[in-house]
Amino acid sequence: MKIGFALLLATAAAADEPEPPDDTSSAPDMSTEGADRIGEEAEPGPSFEPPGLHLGSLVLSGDLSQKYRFRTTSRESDQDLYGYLNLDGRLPHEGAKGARPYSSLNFNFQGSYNLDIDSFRGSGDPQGSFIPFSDITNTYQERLQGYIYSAYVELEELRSFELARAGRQQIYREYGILFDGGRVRTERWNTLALEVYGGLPAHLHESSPRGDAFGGAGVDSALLPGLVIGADYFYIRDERDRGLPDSDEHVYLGRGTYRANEEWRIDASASWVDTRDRLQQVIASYNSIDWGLAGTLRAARQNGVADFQSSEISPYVFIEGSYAPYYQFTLDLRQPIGDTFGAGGGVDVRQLEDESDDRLYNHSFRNFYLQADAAELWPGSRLTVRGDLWDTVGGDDIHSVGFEVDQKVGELLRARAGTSFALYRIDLFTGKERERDRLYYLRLRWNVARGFEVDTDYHYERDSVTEYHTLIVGIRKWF
Amino acid sequence: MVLKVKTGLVLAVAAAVGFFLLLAGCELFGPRSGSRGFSHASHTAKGISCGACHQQHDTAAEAGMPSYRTCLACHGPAADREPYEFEKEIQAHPGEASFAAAPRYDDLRFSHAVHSAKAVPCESCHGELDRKSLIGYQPPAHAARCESCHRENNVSADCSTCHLETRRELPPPSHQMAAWDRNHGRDPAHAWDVMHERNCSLCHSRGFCDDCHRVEKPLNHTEFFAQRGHGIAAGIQREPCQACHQENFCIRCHREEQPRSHFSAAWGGTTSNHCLSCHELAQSSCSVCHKSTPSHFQATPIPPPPHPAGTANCYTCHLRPPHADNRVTPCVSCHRG
Repeated sequence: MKIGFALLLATAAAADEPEPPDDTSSAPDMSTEGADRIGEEAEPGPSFEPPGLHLGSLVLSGDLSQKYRFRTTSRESDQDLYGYLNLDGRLPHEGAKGARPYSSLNFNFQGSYNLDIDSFRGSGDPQGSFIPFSDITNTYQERLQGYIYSAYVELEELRSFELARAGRQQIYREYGILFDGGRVRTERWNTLALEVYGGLPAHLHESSPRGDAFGGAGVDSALLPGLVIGADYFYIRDERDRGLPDSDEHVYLGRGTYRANEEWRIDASASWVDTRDRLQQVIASYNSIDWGLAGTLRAARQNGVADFQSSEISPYVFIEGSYAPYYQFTLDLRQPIGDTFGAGGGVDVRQLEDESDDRLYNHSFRNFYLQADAAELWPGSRLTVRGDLWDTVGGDDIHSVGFEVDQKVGELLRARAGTSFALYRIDLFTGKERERDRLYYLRLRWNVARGFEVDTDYHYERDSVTEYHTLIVGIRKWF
Repeated sequence: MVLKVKTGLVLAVAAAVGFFLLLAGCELFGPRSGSRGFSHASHTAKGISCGACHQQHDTAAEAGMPSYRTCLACHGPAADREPYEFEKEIQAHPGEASFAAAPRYDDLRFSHAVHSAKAVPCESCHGELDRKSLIGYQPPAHAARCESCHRENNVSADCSTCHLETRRELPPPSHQMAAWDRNHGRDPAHAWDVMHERNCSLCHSRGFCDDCHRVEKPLNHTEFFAQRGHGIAAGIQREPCQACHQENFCIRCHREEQPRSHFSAAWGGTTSNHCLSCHELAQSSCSVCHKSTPSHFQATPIPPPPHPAGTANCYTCHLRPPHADNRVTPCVSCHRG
């Protein structure tokens, strides 16, 4: 409804210069339309059929996908089944606001499974030769694995709480933290809203949460028009197995957003781990109403504060080591050109504070990318071409380019075909090693019925060593 | 890349950044037209109702902007005092002139009169007016608030109730921009919305992110990428990996699965220090990848004494050990006496 737009803008922008008295009435058909609708309002607007399955008061919505995948080279092959389920439930409480204990009881479940249906070689199997299709599913002893990404129940507007939630959930506080636990957020009181959360961090590929802990609190405040600031404190304890070091951290996070006007917005945040600063960043973004230009400028400084941190706030540190301190500047621009064409591009520059820190997983780099697209060049079409260059100062480079055509065929079928080429200049030993990888793909998505889709996908890939064929056939159902 | 080319590119980037900042500075800190000095808070504090100034709020779609004559009712010439500076400005305007209405959001289908007839308080949408000065831009009432209120009152909450064009099944303009698929994670608005579970959830189900970010792989995740490319990509910039992968995803796979390069004929020579090529052993250990190292149990024992006089340092004789060595782990942890 965006009710506020007209009145807020109108009242905010009372001009210095007087305007003709009839200026406000020039807007619109809207005025007339709105006035005409006064008498009609007893009737709800356009007919509304909420999506989902209705079981009494309970509304279920979500989507379910099931896919079969066949991959082969000239020597090996692999077949898998995998699927995904997202299920949302909403059960509104009867009664008017103020008289009922809460407004609705909701739940959410998200999970997936993977089943290797042939030639499964799991953890512990002797592996004397390279198996190109081995992946994380082969690190278990069973051919069937399942993952739960989300499973929680929540109450909306529970007395003075805007939200009270329990179960597996994810919270974003500069980092996305998956945890099993609880979370409550108050309604805005004066200008402040408070939030408390805590539980056990959930590691999808680690069997035991023993010894782990997570808990914190945050506050948001809408202090001034357009300005929202917030702060969080949370504690993470990450007890590692197999001899890896444990971590025990107190994290402090400050953040703010200022919407200067309809086109400009500034975000800033800073975080500290224990007493050491970790990441500071400022992001200015611009969305031109008149030109359609969208631009983002980001400046960040990362301080590699510790050799070991919890896996929640410093993923990959155990594989790749801590990030060396760096500065990074990012500029991203996107511009529509008429109704048909569009172009985008960007630059990402990272500079290590100390160049002597440059090593395999810590580089100063420059990333340039360009993309151009055309929509409805002919009916139902969308074309995209994209190029990307990663140029590191002391090591590996990646150059890639791709082209894609997306075509709607009738009301039922959407076809997507494309190719991409990537050149990896790997500086591991000689500095001259090059790996080429070319991909051709075709995807057909059939909208068989409302909310039901059949998806077929074929990939042909050829790299510097061998070639691969991949076929994926699946169905997807929304409800 | 030739140094001159790099220098040119850096200068080009710097110029672009400078232009962007200049544009931003002009926009953010330049002079503004508008309601200099006007405060809703000070007016509502005096008990002045919204309708006293916005007199069409119950009869038209637009609430109506007041004329200066409205202001003069309170801020006109007074016999008992000198006018304040802002009152002088008001009095200098023709009384019939109205304050200008700001441009209206094109895609909005909204009537103040309809909501007034339903006795919807102004604060429901405009927030705590008694705390707002409204100097400058105010963000609109968030659609989620509208949707919530409509649902509670059994009014249609479908997009078309309030929008002329926006529909759940039609991606908004931002999504049609070049590189949206690639860049939506970088969009600060996206980051904010994810953090507060706001705009995205208006159209996307709660599982929409996970469906792509955990189950469907991006196109650049080819078989080659799975075998070699990902290490190179992560070596350059690892943050994008975090959108989908937890850290223990890497460890679990690396501990069990050997990279393709490890199967080449040239791999694993005793002097290649191959572990150090990828893994910073000073910060982790061999066990990150090698869950067991049976051959190490048969490591050559340290030679019996006497050792060279005055030292127990193996490097005195073994200048370069014939295997990966992080110079941290004591030699005796494998080479026992």
